[in-house]
Amino acid sequence: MFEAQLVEGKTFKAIIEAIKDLVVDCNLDCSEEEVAIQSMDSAHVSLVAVRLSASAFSNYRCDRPNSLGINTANMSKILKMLGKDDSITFKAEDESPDSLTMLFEGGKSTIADFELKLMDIETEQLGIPDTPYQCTIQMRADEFQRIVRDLQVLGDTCTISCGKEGVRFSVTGAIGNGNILVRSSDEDKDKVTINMEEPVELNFALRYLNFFTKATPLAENVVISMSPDVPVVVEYPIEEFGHVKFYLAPKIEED
Amino acid sequence: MSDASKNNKKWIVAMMLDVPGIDCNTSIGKIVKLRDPNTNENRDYGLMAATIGGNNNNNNQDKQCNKIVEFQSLPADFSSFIVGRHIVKDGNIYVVNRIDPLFFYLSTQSVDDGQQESWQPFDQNLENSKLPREVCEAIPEKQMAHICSTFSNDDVCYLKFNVEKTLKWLQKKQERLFESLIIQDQRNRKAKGIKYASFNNNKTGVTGGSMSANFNLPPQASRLVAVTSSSEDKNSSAAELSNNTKAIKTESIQIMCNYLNQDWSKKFIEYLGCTMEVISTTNPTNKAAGVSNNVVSNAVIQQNIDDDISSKKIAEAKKKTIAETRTMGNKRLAKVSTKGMKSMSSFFGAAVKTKKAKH
Repeated sequence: MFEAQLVEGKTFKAIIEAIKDLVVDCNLDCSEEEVAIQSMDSAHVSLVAVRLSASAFSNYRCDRPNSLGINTANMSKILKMLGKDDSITFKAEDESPDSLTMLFEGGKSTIADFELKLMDIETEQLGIPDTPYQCTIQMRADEFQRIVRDLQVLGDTCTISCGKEGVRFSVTGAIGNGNILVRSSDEDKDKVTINMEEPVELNFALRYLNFFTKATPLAENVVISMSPDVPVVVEYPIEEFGHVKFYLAPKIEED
Repeated sequence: MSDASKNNKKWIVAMMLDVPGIDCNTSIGKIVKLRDPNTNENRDYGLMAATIGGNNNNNNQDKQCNKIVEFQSLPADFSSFIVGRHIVKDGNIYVVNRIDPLFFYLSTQSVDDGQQESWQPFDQNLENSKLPREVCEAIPEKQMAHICSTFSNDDVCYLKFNVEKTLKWLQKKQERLFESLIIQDQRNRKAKGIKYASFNNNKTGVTGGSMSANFNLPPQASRLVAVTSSSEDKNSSAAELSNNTKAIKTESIQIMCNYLNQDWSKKFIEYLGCTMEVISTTNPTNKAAGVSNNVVSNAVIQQNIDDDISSKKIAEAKKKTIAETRTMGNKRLAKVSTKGMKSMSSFFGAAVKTKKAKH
């Protein structure tokens, strides 16, 4: 039996909204410790890793590990009916359940229950090593969203270069080019922390970064980690309970 | 094009003519079951990959778009064919005929003017039509303008299904088909010694070359009218030709109705100013026989054309029993160029396949 109640149901709704454009179908991997999602986009150049620890839920019971295959768009449709302050209770049988039951409870008077049909989904679980990155940038999530959104007007590919002066986001396009430099700052309102061992410069598809920023409502800050020739990690921490991490392969120019 | 490996597999051998929009070097990628726009019953169709806006710059700007083809069988008095090193024991010839995917779209739309939908972007419009993904991928955006009203805002083209435009489009199709049938009929008549003149008199009647049974007009086909060869039998032959032309026109309407459901057939016939008797005058299976050398039947290859592909499709259908829903974002993301980007699995550890067991 899997049963878990999330008091702030809007958190789960925001997670699904953040990943639904990248991932069509995915498994909710439920275990004693956590609920996790790992899935790649259809082109396999980006990866989403979501983790919600058991402590994020007010009641949590998972008798045995289970994978619940969902279509994110269908899940999103159901979550549209979630009230702003509603809690969500998930329920599923242990033995290959056909559906996931979700109870939306708002206050004392309203209880809505929905059943989402589950799917058999074959997924490739990648082993992601916990390696240190040469550059780590922590900045306001909404500021990162604004930068990505603004630069999209100019072109498709964004160069993120982390150097001594700060982090530079550059785009070159048909109508012109643009640079946005973000410097380290200790101001509480716009705190930017840059940890750098070596300068790093990588190119990324802006459209993907734009989809990543749909997770902005989940966290105040975003953490961007880069090392040469490896995927960038764009992490949105969900308080101390978990995270949504996006990995994106850099664009490497062929000789 | 051929498919074979297993003993019980069926060969399809297609001799590709120059058909607009189809690359002759393309083979049928897969066989899929789609609902017949006319009967709404499941039928086997072929999917052919084709490139729209094809050009030689390799910047992923060309859109890959499926072409949907149907299979028509031509009964022939042969017992076998030699295909490469194989002997195929099948007495039929199959014709691969491209189908306009808008016919599938039409079968999902109401003929009632009052039930038109609101303005929607192209992707949303197709999504709401609940058509299978294979069909959606075969419909280019600009082709929808034939049957939808359009307006653009912020680089997004919005569409609304338009019955009036649809009927005009169907009429144009019927007129083209009529011309094609006339040209085919002309060949038969020429053999009987009746001369034709084209609208532009410097062209001879036979300009189409050999015609396929799929009614595709050859390039630069002449618009033809029939005239008699001598003055003395002018009246009788003119009357005969007039009747024949009328019959051919009827046939062209009937063939069009073969790709429309009952409601659309009725609406279309009314639009043309005809009565429903038009589609009841001829046995549908022999519609083309009267106007073509080839006896084209709409018999569908229901046999296992490609057992591997079919069984795989069935297995996939069982695996995913829920209709797959994609967001607009998914579709936009699919269009993003990933050139120069490596797969995630090339960066991270070996992939472990996990599968949820379901009984």
